[in-house]
Amino acid sequence: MKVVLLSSCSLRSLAYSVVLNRHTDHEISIVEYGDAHLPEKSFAEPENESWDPLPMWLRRNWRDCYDELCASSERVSVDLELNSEMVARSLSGLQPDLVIYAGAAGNIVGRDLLAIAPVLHMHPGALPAFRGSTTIYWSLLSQQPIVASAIYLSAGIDQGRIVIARNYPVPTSLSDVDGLYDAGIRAWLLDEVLSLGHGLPHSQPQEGEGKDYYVIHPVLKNLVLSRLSPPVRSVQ
Amino acid sequence: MTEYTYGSGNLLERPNTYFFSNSGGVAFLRSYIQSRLSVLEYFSSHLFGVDGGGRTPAPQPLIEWMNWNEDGAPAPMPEQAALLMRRFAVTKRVWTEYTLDVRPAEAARYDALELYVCLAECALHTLRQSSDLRFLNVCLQAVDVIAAHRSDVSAREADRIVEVISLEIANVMHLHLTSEL
Repeated sequence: MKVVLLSSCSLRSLAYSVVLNRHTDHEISIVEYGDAHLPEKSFAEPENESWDPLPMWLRRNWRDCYDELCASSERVSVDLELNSEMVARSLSGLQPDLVIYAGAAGNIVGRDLLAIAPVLHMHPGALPAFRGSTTIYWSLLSQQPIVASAIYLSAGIDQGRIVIARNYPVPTSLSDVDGLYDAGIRAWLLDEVLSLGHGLPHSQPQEGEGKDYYVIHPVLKNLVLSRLSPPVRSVQ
Repeated sequence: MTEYTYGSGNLLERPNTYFFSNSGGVAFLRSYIQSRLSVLEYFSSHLFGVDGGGRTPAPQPLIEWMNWNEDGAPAPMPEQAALLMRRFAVTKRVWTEYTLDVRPAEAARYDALELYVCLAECALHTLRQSSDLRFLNVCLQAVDVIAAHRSDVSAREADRIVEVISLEIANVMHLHLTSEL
């Protein structure tokens, strides 16, 4: 498949690059939009607890992985906002079979982009129960499992057809929830989607009543963080 | 990372986005309580504020929310009230008037602080009936605006604000003591 990573150069974009480097059976291209500055973040050693509970294959220097992907892929940078005509033109020029969306928080993919090719989005929440923003925290606050759902984006926010959904371990008190954990479980799910086989992954509509969540207030977020358990380490 | 900074500054003009907010755990929660207690102390002193003119009437979507609360909220949230909640989630503003599709009407203002008090009261009322924490989220955000602009609040709102903040703190403390992950 011709796959295009639609990248805001966010941490999520970097995490997805780890996965895309593993799936060399696809023809990968990158369209970067916005100011295209990679996040200033240092990546700890794989044993560091901030990675918990991500698998070892994801515990790498994501910036290096992104550079590696850029070196092996066609790359277009557009210094304009997501829904600009230029981004749409760049994307359609690559004639993708599938677009993988790695946008910035708060960006919503417009209809013009959605018309070019199916746009795959990894949403960190069960659907339709947890639509919207900061749903990792809302799930934990509601004492529900952490789920990530791979969906094809549609006009309604987080209302698209579901490809797969998976449960993930709860972060620990030392996990980097907003950074490594959020981007990491999405990447983990993307790896599963790309492992489903050749061709465009099948999907099914969401069933049941949905709930929309908005950005969680820091007080509620810290209520969640204060209740996370410390990492469990085996005694030697 | 533990200081509570969300109830200060000119939040009417530069609203909080709450994206990637501070992660301080229990220390942050202590800081929040201290911050709210200082606001409570301010409004309890009654040595503040402006008398202002007449009270700003609540806009239609907020009236619908209030009526829904009074009915005991058995039916789904009225569409206009739900849209107001969404609009507030995005803009962190309550406007004096809305169009039918709940967009700010021309010449509408967003600086009528009593409407933020009204919104916080509505949200707390719905929270009590539904236990849906999205409404505590609305309350916390509305109270941040009130706290940041406390010196512009009319003195006649003091008792209502004291009640709102007291209830907000009680709900947060209850969650802190009872939630298990």
